[in-house]
Amino acid sequence: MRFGGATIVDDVSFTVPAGLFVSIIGPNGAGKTSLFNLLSGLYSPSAGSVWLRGDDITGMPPFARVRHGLGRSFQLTTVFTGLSTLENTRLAAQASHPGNYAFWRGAGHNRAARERAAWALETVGLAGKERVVAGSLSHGDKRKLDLAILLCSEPEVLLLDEPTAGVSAEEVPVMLEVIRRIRQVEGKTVLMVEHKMDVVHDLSDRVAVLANGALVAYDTPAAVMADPFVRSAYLGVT
Amino acid sequence: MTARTVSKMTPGGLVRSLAPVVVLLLLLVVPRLSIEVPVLFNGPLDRPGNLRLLAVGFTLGIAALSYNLLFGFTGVLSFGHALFFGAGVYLPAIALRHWEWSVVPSLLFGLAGGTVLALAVGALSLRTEGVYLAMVTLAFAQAGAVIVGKNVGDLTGGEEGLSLRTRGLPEWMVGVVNTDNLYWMALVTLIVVYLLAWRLVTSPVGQVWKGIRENERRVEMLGLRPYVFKLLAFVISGALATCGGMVYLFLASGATPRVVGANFTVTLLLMVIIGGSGSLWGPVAGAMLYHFLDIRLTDWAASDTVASLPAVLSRPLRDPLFIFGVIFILLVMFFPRGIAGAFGGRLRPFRHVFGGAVARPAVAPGKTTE
Repeated sequence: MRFGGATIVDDVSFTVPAGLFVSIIGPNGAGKTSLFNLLSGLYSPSAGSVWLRGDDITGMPPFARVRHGLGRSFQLTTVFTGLSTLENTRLAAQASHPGNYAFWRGAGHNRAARERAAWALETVGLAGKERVVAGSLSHGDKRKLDLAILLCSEPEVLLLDEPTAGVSAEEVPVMLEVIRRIRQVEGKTVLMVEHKMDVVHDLSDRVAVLANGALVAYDTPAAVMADPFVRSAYLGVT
Repeated sequence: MTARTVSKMTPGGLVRSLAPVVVLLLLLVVPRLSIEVPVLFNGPLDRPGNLRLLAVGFTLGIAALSYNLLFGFTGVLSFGHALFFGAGVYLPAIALRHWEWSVVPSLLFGLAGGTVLALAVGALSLRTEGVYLAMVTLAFAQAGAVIVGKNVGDLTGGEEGLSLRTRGLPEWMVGVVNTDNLYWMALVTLIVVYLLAWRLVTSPVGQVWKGIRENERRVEMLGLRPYVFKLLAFVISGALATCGGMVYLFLASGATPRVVGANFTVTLLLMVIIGGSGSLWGPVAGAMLYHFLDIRLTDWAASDTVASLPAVLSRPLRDPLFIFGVIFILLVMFFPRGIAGAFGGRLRPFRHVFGGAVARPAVAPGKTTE
């Protein structure tokens, strides 16, 4: 995946080999979320290109990128608050198991979607809460649901925007376990924005450091932590 | 939870479960009910005037129900919905009067015309969002109103409207004595439209609509193209509104420019809000209530009772809009989620038999397994 050029995000060019786990760190306003918006197609770059699985996806609208194997979670949890958790995941699953948009049938008839939805809820630890309205879930549960929705889209490349932000201390390990599973069992490629350095250190194969919209380091966790520039620009601040 | 659900059913729940069935059966036999309902209805219930009052209410209910598919379920605020109801009124009227077609082709022409119109308006206006979409659709509706009002091509009859040509119609549709047939036609159309809408909102497509209402961007990040689903909602709701308009044509014995104006769209929005946008039956109830008040308050305002009141009271009360305004404010204040919200939202016919619901966690947090 290559990328380059925008005013907020500038001169960020890196490639993520398939199956790797890359963390993106950087101070607030470094352009981490903007980078995700560029990758997922919510913003279009003024210059440069985005490549996904060997194809140039720069001109693709967001939904087409998703069909091409990209999935994304949001920093501010964006579940469908008025629907139940099962409806949330089933909606995501039916999007990736199309072919059954028969509107003369109930939404529960799509068996593949139903199973995928149940599996995703089980995976993130929301089994038993299928009928709870998403808007009334605790914040931690909403983040889990957010992740479950993402799993239902069956992406090859996942963009996780601070998956543990706002999650209570005792729930963080649960979230990390889910993410670890996605990566190890499912063998997906993951890009994750994260602030917690221990989390980054444990999970990542590579760490990318952004500062003022530019990529200042991109290496293994150990090498990045040792980099004097990174220590002053990022670690020194916090 | 299986068969024991029945015994667990509260009396209130049983009422809510059976009420729709009872109301429906009552409505079906109204044309044979020769009973007086004082204050509410003028004369016996099966009087043609009363039947027409109810039946026009059904057609407005169809319009409000179809509008709600777009507004309440998909979250798209259009100000052009009257255009499609109006197409349902005018197109068959034109085909019957000017081209002297018979009923069935005229109605098919109306339905096709309304659907194509909805497709064209939707395809263009859904390129925009929010307030801009409201403005674009309003512009289309106003254009439609101008075309009708200016009598373009001598087809619409201008401000005068177009009276229904009865010669080509089957006998059972013509004349005051056959109002009961038209009543049943309106009621059956409403039921069919209702069932269709219910099937749609509970289908996979309906799930996507609700997703778009809740969070359009997230739907896009599921790999779905919101535009396509919004357009589908627009076309279906437009086509259903056209069906309502076609039945209205026969009840009103003609077409008047009132049914295409922006005022009518705002009225539809009022009906949906009064009835409750979160449910299917709410807007139908809202439309019935609106139409009922619209007609009956006018009668009541002109009555001797009001005239005999002191001038301070009688002057404002003589204006039906004043009374309606007060009622509307009270409804919005005390039932912010509409009539349907006041009665607990979604109807669940035969719920005591089938059971099952989306549990509110306030009742049983996280422990609601079936």
